Amino acid sequence: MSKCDISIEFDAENRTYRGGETVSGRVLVEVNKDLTSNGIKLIHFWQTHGYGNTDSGERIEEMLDTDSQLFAGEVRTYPFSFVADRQPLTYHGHYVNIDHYVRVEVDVPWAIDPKLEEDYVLLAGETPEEVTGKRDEIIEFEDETATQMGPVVKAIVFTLLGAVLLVVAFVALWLLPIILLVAGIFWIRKKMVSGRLGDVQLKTPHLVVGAGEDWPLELTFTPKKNFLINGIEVKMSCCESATSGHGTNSTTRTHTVVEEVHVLEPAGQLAANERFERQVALPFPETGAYSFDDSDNNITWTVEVRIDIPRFPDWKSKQTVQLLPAEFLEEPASGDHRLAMPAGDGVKPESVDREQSDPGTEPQQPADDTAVGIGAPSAEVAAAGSSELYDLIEQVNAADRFGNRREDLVESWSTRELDVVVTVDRVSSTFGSVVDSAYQNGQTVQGTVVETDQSIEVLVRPGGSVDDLSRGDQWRTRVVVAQWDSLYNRLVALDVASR
Amino acid sequence: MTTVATRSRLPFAHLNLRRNPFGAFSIEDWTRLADVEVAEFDAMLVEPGTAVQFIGEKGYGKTTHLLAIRARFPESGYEHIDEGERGEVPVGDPVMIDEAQRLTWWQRHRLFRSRVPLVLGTHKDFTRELVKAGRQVRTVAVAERMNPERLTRILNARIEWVRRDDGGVPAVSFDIAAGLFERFGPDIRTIQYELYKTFQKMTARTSDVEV
Repeated sequence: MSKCDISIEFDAENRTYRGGETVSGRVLVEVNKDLTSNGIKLIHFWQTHGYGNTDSGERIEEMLDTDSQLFAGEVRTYPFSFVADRQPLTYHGHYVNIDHYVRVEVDVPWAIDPKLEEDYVLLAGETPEEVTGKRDEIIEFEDETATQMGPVVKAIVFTLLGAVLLVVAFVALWLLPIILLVAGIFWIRKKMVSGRLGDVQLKTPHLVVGAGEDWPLELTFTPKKNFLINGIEVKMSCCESATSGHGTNSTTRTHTVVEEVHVLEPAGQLAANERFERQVALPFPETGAYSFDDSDNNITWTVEVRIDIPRFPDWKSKQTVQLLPAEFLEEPASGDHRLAMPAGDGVKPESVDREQSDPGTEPQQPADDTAVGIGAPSAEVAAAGSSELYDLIEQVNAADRFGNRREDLVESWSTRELDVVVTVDRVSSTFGSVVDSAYQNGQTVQGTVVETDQSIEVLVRPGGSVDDLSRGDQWRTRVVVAQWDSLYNRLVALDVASR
Repeated sequence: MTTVATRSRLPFAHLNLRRNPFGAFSIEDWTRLADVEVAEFDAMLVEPGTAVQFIGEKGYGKTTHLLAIRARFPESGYEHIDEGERGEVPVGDPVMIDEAQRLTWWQRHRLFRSRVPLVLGTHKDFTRELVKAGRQVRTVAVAERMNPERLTRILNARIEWVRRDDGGVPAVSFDIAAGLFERFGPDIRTIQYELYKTFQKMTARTSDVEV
């Protein structure tokens, strides 16, 4: 019989919490033999398990009890509570698993400490501070892993690495002919491909995408010759990789979680000087396999575009994409009262941008659907939107995203004037080519159509009065839709109220 | 022990386990679960000028033997030399070097000629060098210390270690362990990987694991 039996009880019946929520419960210590304890400690942390070596996050400790004498037969109860991490979320895969734990240790001098560890499930909740809404660069989470290097150490390591590489390069001068030969082969291959395809431009403006969201991609090139292709494909894949052991004893295994191939262009002929242009929105699956990058355990999402040319080198490009829970990338929480404010009342809403929120404040309860917000817009706002516009949005969403159906649909509506209320995301100057030269050098209001998730971009003529708008404002105006931007899944409209 | 709850989201709850028992374990857990007989070396390792070397292929249990000895000698100094790295010889009594074949000539020369008791895990037999340095040497081929009985114990100990609650957990029968031993020899690492895959696929608790 052990000196004491420990049990951990969570208040949440199914041990499931959302990021930022309070994890609470009780620790019960049932003493079997009299003992002196140097303290009872509760530790919470995340940790990987599975095929690979263990990666773990910072272990946060809290003393439940100080030095004390524990007597046989007594049962001590210690309530506990702490704020759950916001990421990484619980994940159970093939080689990689991520779990969150509460561990209790009774410090018994000169003896093996009784201890117990229990896992709980962490789902997406509050958005981590690092996620600011920017999607054009991979987010590096400030993980507090024990193995993480500080900036100074990093600088020293990279400097030493650079020096070693220089020495190796000097010593390996005799390898120069082989290196030049390999480089030459690559150069010739590249020249051959560009000799047929011309300058291939692949635009992937988002490197961060939410699970279940569409990911915009644009491929353009003008072939220099007539030639056949086996097809143009986009392969989306998600792989787990886990490394077990160290040095020569280490083994890395990978497991494909998701692999989907989308055909951009079927097999056929490409004609010389005929511009090839495709804008698509790749649907990322609803999955819990979010991107994860640690020393011995990784979940990596990639998208590879390949132009397959028979009996000729293929053109291909591979991009790593960071998949996050869609909740992290959503607009401000549904409890945000700005959405209920009547538009145009001249009162600036209080700024509650995520990056300005205080992470140290008490955790928030999950968004309440019954609260005033997206789920329940004020009658004034609801009435302001044009039902015609909602019809258009419904039709667009129902149309096939891969053909030209959405573009055609929007074009057929381009003669009607529609009322719209936009929840403003940002206002910027209009640069470059626009659908109507009258809007050149004006301003562009980006946001979403109120009551929907539909992204919209409204071009305003020079001198239009949108300078005062800021993020979260509700802007009521009248527009004509101009085009469908399939790259961003967005309606582009021209403001006609300021004419 | 814990709240009775819907556990479908907890890992391996369907097998009454906390995780796959054949994944990587921490050094602490690895040491605790070491099922090797090392008490026989205690007397030798308190004498100066002695050396015990454990020889075998990777995955055969050299590190497990060293970790088990380390747990018996609180004053010991242990170093695992990673590939491509110049390991430091630790201070301790005994000094324990894992992957000793990666010691530099100079490190071996100095270490072997010291009088501190030595424990080596190595792919290379250093008997000649050690004897030449005046040491009393015992060489242990780890492959010969494995048998189906021990393998059965080792595999089931891992399953027990990750038990979630009271109640049944899967078990590896002697016949299954003997079959694995026949197929993979004493390569515990490969055997554990086979079982890792088996446990990933198991959807319901069964008394015996089938491979």
